[in-house]
Amino acid sequence: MISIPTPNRYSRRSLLKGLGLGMGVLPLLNSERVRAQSGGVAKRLITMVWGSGVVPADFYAPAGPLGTLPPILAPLDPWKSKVLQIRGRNLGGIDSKVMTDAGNRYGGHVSYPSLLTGTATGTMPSIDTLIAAQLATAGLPKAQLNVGCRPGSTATSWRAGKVKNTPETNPSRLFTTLFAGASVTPQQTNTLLLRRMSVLDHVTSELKNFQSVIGAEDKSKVQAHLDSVRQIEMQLSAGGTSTPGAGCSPPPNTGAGISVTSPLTLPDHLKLMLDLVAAAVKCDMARAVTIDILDNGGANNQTFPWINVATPGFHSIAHNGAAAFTQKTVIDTWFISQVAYLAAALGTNPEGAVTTLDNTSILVLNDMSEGDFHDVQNLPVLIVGSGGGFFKTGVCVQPQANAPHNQLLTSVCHAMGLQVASVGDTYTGDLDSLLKA
Amino acid sequence: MTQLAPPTARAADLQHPGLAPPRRRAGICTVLALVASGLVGGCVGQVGKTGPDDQPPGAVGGGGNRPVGGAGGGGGSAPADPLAAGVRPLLLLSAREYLNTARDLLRDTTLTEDALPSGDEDLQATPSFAFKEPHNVATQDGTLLQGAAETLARNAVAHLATLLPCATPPAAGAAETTCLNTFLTTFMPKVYRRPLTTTETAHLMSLYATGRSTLALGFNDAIGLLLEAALQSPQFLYHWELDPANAVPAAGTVVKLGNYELANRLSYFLWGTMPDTALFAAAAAGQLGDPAVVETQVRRMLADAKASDAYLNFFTDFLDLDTLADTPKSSAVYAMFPALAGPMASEIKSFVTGIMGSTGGFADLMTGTNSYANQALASFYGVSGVTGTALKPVMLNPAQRAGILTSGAFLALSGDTDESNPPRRGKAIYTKFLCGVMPPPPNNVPKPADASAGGTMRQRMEVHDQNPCAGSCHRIIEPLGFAFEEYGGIGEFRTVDNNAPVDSSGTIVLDGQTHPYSNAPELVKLLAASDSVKGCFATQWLRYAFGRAETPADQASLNAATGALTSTGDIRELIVALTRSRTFMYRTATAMEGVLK
Repeated sequence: MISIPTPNRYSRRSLLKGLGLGMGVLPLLNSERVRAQSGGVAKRLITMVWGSGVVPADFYAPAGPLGTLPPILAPLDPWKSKVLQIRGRNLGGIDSKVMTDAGNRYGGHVSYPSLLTGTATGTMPSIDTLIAAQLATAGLPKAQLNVGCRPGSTATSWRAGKVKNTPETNPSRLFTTLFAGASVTPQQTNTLLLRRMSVLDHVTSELKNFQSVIGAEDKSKVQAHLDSVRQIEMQLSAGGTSTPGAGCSPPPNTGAGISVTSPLTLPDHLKLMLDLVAAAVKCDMARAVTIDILDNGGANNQTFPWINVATPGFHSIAHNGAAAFTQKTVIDTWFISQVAYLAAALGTNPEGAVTTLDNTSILVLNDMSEGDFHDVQNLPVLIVGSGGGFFKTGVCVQPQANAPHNQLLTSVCHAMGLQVASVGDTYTGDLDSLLKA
Repeated sequence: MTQLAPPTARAADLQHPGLAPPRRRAGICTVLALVASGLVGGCVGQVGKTGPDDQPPGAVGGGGNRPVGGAGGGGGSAPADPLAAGVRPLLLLSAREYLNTARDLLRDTTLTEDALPSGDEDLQATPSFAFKEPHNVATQDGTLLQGAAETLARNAVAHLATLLPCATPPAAGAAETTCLNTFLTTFMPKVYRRPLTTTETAHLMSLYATGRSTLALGFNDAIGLLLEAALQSPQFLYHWELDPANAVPAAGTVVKLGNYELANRLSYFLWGTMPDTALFAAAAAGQLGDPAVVETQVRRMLADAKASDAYLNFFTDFLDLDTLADTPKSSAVYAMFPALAGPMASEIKSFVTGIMGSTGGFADLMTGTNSYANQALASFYGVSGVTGTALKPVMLNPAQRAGILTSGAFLALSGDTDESNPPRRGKAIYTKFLCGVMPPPPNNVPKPADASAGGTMRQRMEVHDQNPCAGSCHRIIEPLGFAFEEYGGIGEFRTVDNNAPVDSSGTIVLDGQTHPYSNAPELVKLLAASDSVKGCFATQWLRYAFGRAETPADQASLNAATGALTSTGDIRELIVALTRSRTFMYRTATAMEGVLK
């Protein structure tokens, strides 16, 4: 077995402590091999997306090195040197109008599910799917993680063929999936692994048989199922080959019973999900992560009483324009504080000479610029973390007018080591020359 | 006084012409005004569930959608083809169906919905489709399905003797072979919900041999292994109980469902679970090709207690009752709401269960005043004499209340945080009871004036609707909402709004006739008597039954179901007619289907 010495080896003890399990229990992790193939750096992409736009004047910094941050970005001040803002307004900006729908009849809200695909809803895969597929080929089977905060909302992650990667919104279930589902004791290893492999062999065979008899449009649904089973098989076949090291520690499993639909629980719910994402990323159990924070058609029912915006609903505030800018800026700032929370969780975790955040890019997107207009030009874009030195940081850049959103997605793939010429449809090319360090 | 036209125009008509990027308010408004001037408005009826956002499963590709108006509701193009049947999209068992099936198959009720894929996806984001459907297996779901199957199999092994009619474990040799065969021929067909093919049986026997040899399992544990595998297999997890005898159908042809396919379609529709012994027996005897036999089975099933599970599921989904407790309300204005939300939802469940267990009357549902309340809810309704926290039968004031649309639950769900919300209430009625479809809002929507500007909510909304941007939709939905101005944000009865008397009067055009009404009880009586509304209600049941939107191929079946409701007034007769309809007993095959091995 190849053993690659890496600076962030998992602490088996801390992992087990977090799980409340005995020393004999070992989650099946596998990453050394892939890290070896990526030059010793585990690069991660985490997307954080919500809707209804921002107050532009309070969001955009002037082009150039970041000085005093605009009000909405203030929570990111401790991480300012690791922030890349892509400026919109006036002279240029990222433009997503090409992908909202075939006839471009509607703007924001409809653009939400296209933000990571660069095409009309799900006709092509999103970038997290593309990146995870490449990692799977390289030997890391479960690199993709899709989480959300509100069940039933629109999602950003898609497979090809209009098949949605429905985000996991239940924190307790996510904990089980990440940290408890695939654990076995060494004594059980042989028999349980063999048993699971036997069962999954059977299931795979039945799924393939099934896929062959159902109609063309449904075959892709069964393919999604097959892929999910395949990931478990790959994880099992690589079982027990890695050693947990420092920094890998699951959060306590405290999410059981929290309401995932009540507007009032959003802060607690989001914190649970961010803690789980941070742990999964630090443990290198996920490298392509999407977080759908809030959409649901503009979130009519969402209110923010914990920051004293108890009425009206989020959607109404976004449509109130300048009359509600004060409220909207308070809300936008709260969302950015959640980005800062995740940045801090990763930015304080050493990985060799740098931190997990330095090997990560948190890509922050919104489905429109100013909510009042449903405007899909000049989209607000933030990247926190250079992605292993790919992106320039501590700076705000100004793209040319109507720079295609697709080119941004292509550059993000490049940052993650996926060399593609284009993402989505209509546009090729990238923004590397603008964004690269 | 305001007027409302029923949804009739074609779907294509509502599509805004290719707009410039939404930057200039004036440009958008102009185009919308043009659309509005050429039509009743931007909001028109169409066959639901397809939209710019999400192409749903089951939408007929390429054929184009056209209106299905229900009886008397229009359509107006080609006559309904009595031999047509809709397509059947592949659906995963929902979490609810999975748990119900585990209960009936294994007598296991240890799992909860949290142990299963989050499953339910609210397709309300897609225009007018009210029901939740399970999504495809997402990346992380395989692990959950594995965990659930392992738990169920482990539990089953612990009480295997109650599931298998032979001594367990049997002695090695002939007894073991006999017992294994018994398991494969009597129990496994319940897991697959149909007889196994010889190939499927061979696969399981091969896995059994692996369990006994390679894995060194005893008999009971090897049976557990088979269960663990079967519960993760598509035969268990998907609604696709193919009749192994079927030939490969050509794409586009209408094929009759096999007996087991139909038995399962009936059982999951009417009970939310697997078929029982009697239904399996009817399928095994090949009797379910006969609509008369199907009807007998359906009447038996509707009389069973398990039917109330489906009734409640339908109405909970249809009215979004499970979100009531999470509906935000101003604590300053509605401090009492948290204590009322639970009883309000329970009231609807008792109300619906009571009707479906007695008359099945659509008119009772829409206009009935015999309801249920505990002390807090009775006080809310102005009914005296009820004490305690348990719901008790009450008679509501018929001058103030009539049926589900005037219930606290419906009005609180569709009300605003601190006041009424006529567009939201109107939209709920327009989409749920008239099957109208609303496009996404246009790209610039100025807000109506705040209460501080003076005037009632209705007066302020009417000013707002002079704006052509907002007016195209609001002029359609708000007359419906204005009828409910006698109710505040959580449905409390009122006669004054913002210091002025409320005006809840209007007119509505239904089935080609113009009707005046003075308030909500009068409007809902008009709705309850309308053929369009009955046609829409039948359409909702079809959507619920199939997990997809209606298509032109469903038209004749939908007409039959609507006709049953219109002639009897009994929702259960609608269900019976739907289950013996062409589109329920047949389906249109899609491309690249194969035959089961």
